[in-house]
Amino acid sequence: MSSNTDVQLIKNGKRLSGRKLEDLREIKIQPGVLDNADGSCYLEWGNNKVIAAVYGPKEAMPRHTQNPLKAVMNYKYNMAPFSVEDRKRPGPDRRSTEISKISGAALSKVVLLEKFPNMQIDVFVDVLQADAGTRCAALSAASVALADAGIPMTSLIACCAAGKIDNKVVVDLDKPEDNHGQADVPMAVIPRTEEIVLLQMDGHLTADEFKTAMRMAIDGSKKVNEIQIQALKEKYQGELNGD
Amino acid sequence: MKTIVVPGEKLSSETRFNTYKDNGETFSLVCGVFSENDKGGKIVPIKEKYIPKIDDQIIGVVSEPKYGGAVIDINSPYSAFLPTKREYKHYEIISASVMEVDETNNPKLGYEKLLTGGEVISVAPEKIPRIIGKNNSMIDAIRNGTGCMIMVGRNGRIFIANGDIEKAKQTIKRVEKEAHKSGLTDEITKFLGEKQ
Repeated sequence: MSSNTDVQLIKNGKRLSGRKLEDLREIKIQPGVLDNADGSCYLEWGNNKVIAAVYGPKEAMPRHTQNPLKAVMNYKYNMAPFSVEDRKRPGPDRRSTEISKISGAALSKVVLLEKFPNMQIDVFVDVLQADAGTRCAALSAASVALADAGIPMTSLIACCAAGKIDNKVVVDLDKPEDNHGQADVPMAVIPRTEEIVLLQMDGHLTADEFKTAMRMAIDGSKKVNEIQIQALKEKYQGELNGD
Repeated sequence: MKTIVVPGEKLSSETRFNTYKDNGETFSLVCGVFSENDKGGKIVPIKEKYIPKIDDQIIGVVSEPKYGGAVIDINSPYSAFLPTKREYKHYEIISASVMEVDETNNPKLGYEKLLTGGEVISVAPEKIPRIIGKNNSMIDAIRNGTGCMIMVGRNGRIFIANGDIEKAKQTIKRVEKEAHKSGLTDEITKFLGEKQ
């Protein structure tokens, strides 16, 4: 993120990747890819590749973490050492701890935790390949994996980022746009009610630009949600038809 | 007509379980198979963990014999306690009914019976109603077709003794796999008839 755009990111109204300002990257979602987890999902979002696995509800351990009123949501975001250009030192760091905390809180908003007192629900998301927007990709995948695990939730969560490049507000920033852009606003919403469950901002936006960015991110999230629903339906409709 | 619904999807008719209401409209809570008739809709979740309820008949495995009772593994995130004077050993299989469930879902069992001389198989707990069938039609068909004594636990465990155990296991696994098919009971009766 730099305050001055030293690289021209928009040419003739199109971005470097050839997308228009409100276009998302291509998204592929495949639920139920892991046999040993209760629920799972593999997601490709442009060059991002993430895999999410859900275990539980199971007895919360260590025992002092148990809450007799509701289940504990345990979300772990992790980047593989080979996910970025220079090898990333494996293990948790400040960034992944922060993302885990806020994403877990976002999911707690939709999952019916009160149904499972004293239990814990584990969600592990591994980023296999990163190309900007991994927290959005990870949370979208986690939401599908939770649905795949049969965990009751009021809605799926869909995520999308908006941002500012070359003084224009755009949606779903990729790596060069993220590095040389002016702002990045990742956002997670409950698509039906448009409630925002995750919102962060890096960089500078005016109040008007922020409103535009929010609107664009919500619209982007709705597109992501359609792909999530379609992926889940395709998977289980196939099983229903006996394929 | 059976369709797949996802969490948060609006349902076309009133459905009691696995749903929530918002502004008078009904929405699904789980990913499942939705079907409707004159009485209303029904959602069968694609996956489910067994949560104990009062009066459920379950089949459990003794996991920790204790003084004055035993802790029973009931194929659920919640483990059950069976107060009894009898000394049970590890891995003994019992059938019991759920007497009470406290506010944190921990069940207490009663009316237990030791099960011996058979086999226990595990199936998905959400498929148990289909394995039993309407008025026990499916399970009776399997019993008659194989000559087995079959005991079905709500928690997804099935005890099979006597008769052709292999065939009963095979049939139950088939019912579990094809649970969504209509007219399955007739098909299974035919399948069992053919094999004899």
